[in-house]
Amino acid sequence: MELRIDRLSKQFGSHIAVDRVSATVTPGVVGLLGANGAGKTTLMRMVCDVLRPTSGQIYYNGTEVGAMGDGYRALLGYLPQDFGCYPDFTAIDFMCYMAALKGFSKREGLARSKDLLEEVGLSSVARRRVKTFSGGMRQRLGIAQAMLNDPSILVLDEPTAGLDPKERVHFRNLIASFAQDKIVILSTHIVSDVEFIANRILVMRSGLFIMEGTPESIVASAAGKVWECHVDARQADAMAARMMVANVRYAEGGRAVVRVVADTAPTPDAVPVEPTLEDLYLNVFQDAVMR
Amino acid sequence: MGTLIRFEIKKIVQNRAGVAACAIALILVMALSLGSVLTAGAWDARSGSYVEGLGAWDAIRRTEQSHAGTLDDARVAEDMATYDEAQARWAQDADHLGSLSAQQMIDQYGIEFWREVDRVRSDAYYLRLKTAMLLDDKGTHAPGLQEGAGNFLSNELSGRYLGFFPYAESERSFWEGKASRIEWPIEYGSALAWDEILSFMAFYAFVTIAACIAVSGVFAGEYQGGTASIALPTLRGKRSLPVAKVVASMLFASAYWWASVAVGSGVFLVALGADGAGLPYQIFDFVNPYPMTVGQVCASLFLLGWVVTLGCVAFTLLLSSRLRSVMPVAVTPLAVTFLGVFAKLIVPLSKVAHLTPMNVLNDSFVALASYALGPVVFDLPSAAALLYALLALVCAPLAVRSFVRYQVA
Ligand SMILES: Nc1ncnc2c1ncn2[C@@H]1O[C@H](COP(=O)(O)OP(=O)(O)O)[C@@H](O)[C@H]1O
Ligand SMILES: [Mg+2]
Repeated sequence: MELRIDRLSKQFGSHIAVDRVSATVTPGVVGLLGANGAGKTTLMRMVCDVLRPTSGQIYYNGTEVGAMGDGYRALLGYLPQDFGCYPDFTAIDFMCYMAALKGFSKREGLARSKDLLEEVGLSSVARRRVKTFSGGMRQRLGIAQAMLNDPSILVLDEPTAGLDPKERVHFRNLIASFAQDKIVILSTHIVSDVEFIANRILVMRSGLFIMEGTPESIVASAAGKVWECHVDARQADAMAARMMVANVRYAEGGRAVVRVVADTAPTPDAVPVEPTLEDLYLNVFQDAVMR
Repeated sequence: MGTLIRFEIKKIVQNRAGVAACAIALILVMALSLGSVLTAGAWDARSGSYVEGLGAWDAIRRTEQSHAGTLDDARVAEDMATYDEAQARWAQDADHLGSLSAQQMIDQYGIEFWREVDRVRSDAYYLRLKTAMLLDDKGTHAPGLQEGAGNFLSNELSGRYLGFFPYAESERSFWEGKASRIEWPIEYGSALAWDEILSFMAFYAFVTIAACIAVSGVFAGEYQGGTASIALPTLRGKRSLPVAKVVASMLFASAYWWASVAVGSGVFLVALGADGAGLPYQIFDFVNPYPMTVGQVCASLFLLGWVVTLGCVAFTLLLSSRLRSVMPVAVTPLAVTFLGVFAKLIVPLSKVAHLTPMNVLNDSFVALASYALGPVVFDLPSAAALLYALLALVCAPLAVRSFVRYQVA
């Protein structure tokens, strides 16, 4: 099973949101990492066939997905970034409705809906109206509906937005166990979301894939660019304004430990340290972050 | 499909603004009907007193029933003589009589005079009779109602509709053909409830408008609420779903239409009785060319209103599928309806304006408006039925198509 994205582009007026990107996605979790405005949402909408590409194609097992029509949509599970969910429906109604849309019979749909609400921890509020839900609850409901049809291709756009740390961990475990022999594409601008569950990371910037590989190999590309220096607290603030500072840890006696991402040693006494994905992200999106 | 339709109906019913509009229109129809029943007033010719409320209807029914029977030439001549006599007696002292209240007239001239002159002159039956029977302003009578009505029609047809639209030869023979199928002499009698139902027909346009408001969010609501992006990329999202939306809208609008009709006409039928449904439609207007019974006309108007509603709903759905926000969709049918009412006053526009919802209900089976398409001639109700059925058949699939092609961006 593979999903092949072939020179896919989307242009809004004169602005190119996705710029001839190509990738072949196989089962496992693919993390789409990029700052806001990188083009992740636009790309995912095209993958889910709700936005027509300006050019390029998407193939599922060699067949162009437009030609597959319903057959392709049957394989999809999609959690959009900004979605609505019928505020006056109860959670269980909403799930049963989505189940009907996904072709389940009434009984089957109800059973699947209950299971998934249980899975995302919403079964106790299943009969409450969606409009009374918090952002995190809505997000979990969105994840549940995406997984209703046990999709072969699960597309999750910023799935952890609005989730608290405990919910994030639960979500990661849910996805990790789901992703066996399925394609999961997950977008985020939060590094820790993908650091541990993605088998593969695509780094996106200005509509382009600028880096791709396993989390380890991507992290390795930042090797030798991450430094730790011990400086005065006042000096630390000055450094933060001038260079890419990943972290400042204030110590006793007006001292600070500053973690800097830079091609060369920022201070004479700087020592190189093991990079993390976050360091890399900062490095890649330096200009975006500094702005 | 059944499940999807049920959910779509649920969404329509959960849309507060739409349901409020439907409730308001239904209450309006009911209030107008009830108001008309409860606030009636009429002079009781027997006692010479003015009766108000439900009791008035007995007086009205008695007056109508006093004219019941077959209106053959002899009967009509006799009634015209009664009317002419009343006119003549009035003319002797018109200025003074015109300034008197009914009570003063009874006091000064006696109840007999009041009954035979004033009552006759204001009895709807005699007024209708006069319209058909007077051939000129010199007081020449037609030999019978059939001739009178025939004369009236040919006069109309030899002129222009509203003094503006000339009748083509095909239109003239169309109307004359219709009129020739009336079976003379006609039977007269009372059909109070049906008369009231017909007078309030135009207000059912509010029911149509409310139905449109209720379905205005069916597609646009999915765009505006951000639900299109989860509903579309599903197995049935681009095939059954939009069809279910159209079907649900039509079912909702139909149920609402017929419920409103049942409530509105039910008030009259329960309060005033259903008698008179089988009488010829001409009892309300002797010169009307439609060879139908009172019941047939009412039923046809309700069916026509239903078709108009379905057409308007389909048109609303098309707008809903094209626009991203609900408001302009909801406002359009209302605007079209009211613009139509005003446009009718501008004579060159009025034939087209007749075809807007409220005018269709108000003017069908009354107006002598006809639309000639080459040799084929349509009267207002058939032109409207065709137009709105076509609108439904064209707009519904187009709405489905726009939804399927909607771009989430
Ligand atoms: N409908 C649209 N019209 C115009 N520009 C758009 C539209 N949608 C997205 N964009 C632009 O395309 C770029 C990519 O947006 P998006 O795909 O939402 O990025 P991301 O999801 O990575 O934050 C942004 O610059 C955004 O402003
Ligand atoms: Mg996004």
